[in-house]
Amino acid sequence: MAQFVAQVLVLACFYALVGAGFPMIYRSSRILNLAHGELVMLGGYIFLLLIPFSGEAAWMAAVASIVVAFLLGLGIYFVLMRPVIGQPVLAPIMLTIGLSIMLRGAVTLIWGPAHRNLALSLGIPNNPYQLPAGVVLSTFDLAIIGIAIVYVAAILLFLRCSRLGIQMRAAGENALLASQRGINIYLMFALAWSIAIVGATLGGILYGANNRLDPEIGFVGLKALAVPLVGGMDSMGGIIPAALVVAALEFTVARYVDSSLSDVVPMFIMLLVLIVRPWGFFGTKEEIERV
Amino acid sequence: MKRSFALFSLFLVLAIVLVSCGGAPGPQAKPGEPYKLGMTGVLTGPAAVSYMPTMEGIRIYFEDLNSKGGIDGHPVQTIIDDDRGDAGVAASNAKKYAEAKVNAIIINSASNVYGPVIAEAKKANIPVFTGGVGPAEAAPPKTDPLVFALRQMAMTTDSMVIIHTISKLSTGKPKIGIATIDVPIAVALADTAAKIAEAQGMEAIVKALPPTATDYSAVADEFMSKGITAAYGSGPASVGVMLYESLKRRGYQGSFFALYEDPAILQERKDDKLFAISFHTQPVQMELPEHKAFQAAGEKYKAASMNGYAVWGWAQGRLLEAILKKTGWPGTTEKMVAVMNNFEFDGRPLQSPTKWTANDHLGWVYWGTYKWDAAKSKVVQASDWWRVSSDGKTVETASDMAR
Repeated sequence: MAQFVAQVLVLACFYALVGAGFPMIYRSSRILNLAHGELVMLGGYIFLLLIPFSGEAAWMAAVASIVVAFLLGLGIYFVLMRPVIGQPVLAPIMLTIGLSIMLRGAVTLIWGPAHRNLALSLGIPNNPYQLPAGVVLSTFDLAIIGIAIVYVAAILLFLRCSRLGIQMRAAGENALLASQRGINIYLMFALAWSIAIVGATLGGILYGANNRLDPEIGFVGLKALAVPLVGGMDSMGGIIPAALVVAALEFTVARYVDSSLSDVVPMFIMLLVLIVRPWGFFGTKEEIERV
Repeated sequence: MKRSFALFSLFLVLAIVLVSCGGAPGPQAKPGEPYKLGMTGVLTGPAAVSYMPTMEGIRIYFEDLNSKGGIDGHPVQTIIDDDRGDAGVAASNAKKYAEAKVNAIIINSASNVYGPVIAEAKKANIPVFTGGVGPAEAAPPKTDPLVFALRQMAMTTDSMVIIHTISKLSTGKPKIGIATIDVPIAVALADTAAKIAEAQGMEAIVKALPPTATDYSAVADEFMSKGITAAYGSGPASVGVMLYESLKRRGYQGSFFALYEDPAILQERKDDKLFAISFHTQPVQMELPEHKAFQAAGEKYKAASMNGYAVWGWAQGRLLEAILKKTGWPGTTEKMVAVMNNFEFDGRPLQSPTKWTANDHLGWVYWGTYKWDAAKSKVVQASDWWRVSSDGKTVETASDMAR
């Protein structure tokens, strides 16, 4: 039982880390970023690129990757997304789909399709550790838990307690009013993208170290989309319980029912929530136009 | 309106120019008309990790051969196209090759493209070589006159290979955990292996996951709780990688068999309980003289990948050269098929012998097993080479591939 809980926690933390990027962007700019999975993948490759420059200090490559991810977020927003503000809702979504295809192609061209393992690239063995209650978790399982908790907590504190975070929330709730109050809403939106892509990068690094890194792992990002849809696309706090629910269901079905159904049940829950409570369990109830 | 029309026209012209430049025509023709080989395969997409290196191996082989004068003064032109594992795209590629009057079509792609490509090839009376899964048409009893398998991976032979390897390299009767992806052919392959294992008194547990499973922890947990002592992933290389990592995170101490992964993982992981199976070719870690030629060509012609699959592509190139050389110019289908219906090629030590007859266009399937030797700090052969007959019924030590 303890091992079950531990493994659900690892999966939930990974989904929370990656899934937090969706509401981060949606709250601010009302864009559903369908390139998020490929940004997770790209984050892993950015880290791979920077490892040789960090020498013995893996943390330096991680910090550098976070900086690059942050700047990438600013770049993606100002170059790609800002021009489509005000366009029909399909335009930015199609743009993100195009971005995902382009990123996957570019990574394949540069690094090829071969699988890599970032733990090996770092020279940090992903050893299993015997923990209390007979739980066995590896180095990067523990890293996923730790980093996800820190990341989500940091975002919640930032949004609730910092001046910039409050401004970001204001820009997300009513961009016109926020703008009239002197808030640079475009900077707020860009920062949201940057923070989301930092989370994606951390997710890519950890997934690449704990499982594998190759141009096709972008699907983990889309799977993480179920989490904010269940929790609420504009609720950062809803990410945590939603991630636990999705991870618990996925793991339980895979382990005790039928492993081939592991994807079906979380998607089913997501569809159910979208039909019954489309704003999610913790999201803001919105006017839904029904034909 | 005028501006929109002008922009649209510009995009249309650009698109036409880009499409016209599509495809990879291969090396420039030297004096002497070229032999032409059309090759459709997966260069991009999820399966590219398995097929792209093979295609690169073939490409650099013929680039190297052409630099030395080709075959009796005739260069070999390789027309290479990406089909992404899409049957429709592959069929279009095959039509293009038929129009180009190629000597042969090579498929290094997923098995779902075989039917449409073989159909197009038969319309044009062009022989087809399959570099991926060996099709039923290449093996008895219903051998197609135009279809030849360069590599096995047929349903029964692969299952025999892995179960035979596990039983020979395990102490006692191992309990086997098999993970696969939830697509019909992969599940069928895993189930066949499980049946073969059970017929030999071994217990086998098969778990199928969706191709988009985030991790394999649940399967690893189940395998560990049931006390498996040997495991492997059946299907794309990613299945083996994911299962291995998940088991290791749980502290798994049993054996793991990498069925379709590059033997380079042995050097990366340095795990003495990890075995890699190499079909037909000695991996580059064996450092044979032919490997040096392969590596030199890879550097010179900028191969995108130089892994174990690329070695196999190089070996395919050697085989194809031997066929074309024996056929002679101009390499008509009738002459080529006559050659291949009574064909033997000895590519040792790099690759296993090939023997085809009119009734068997697949031949024996050879494989070797390798592991990491911590004492020698290098990859070594873990056992003798073995071979299985094309009908999957006879498995024996391949004395002609002695250590």
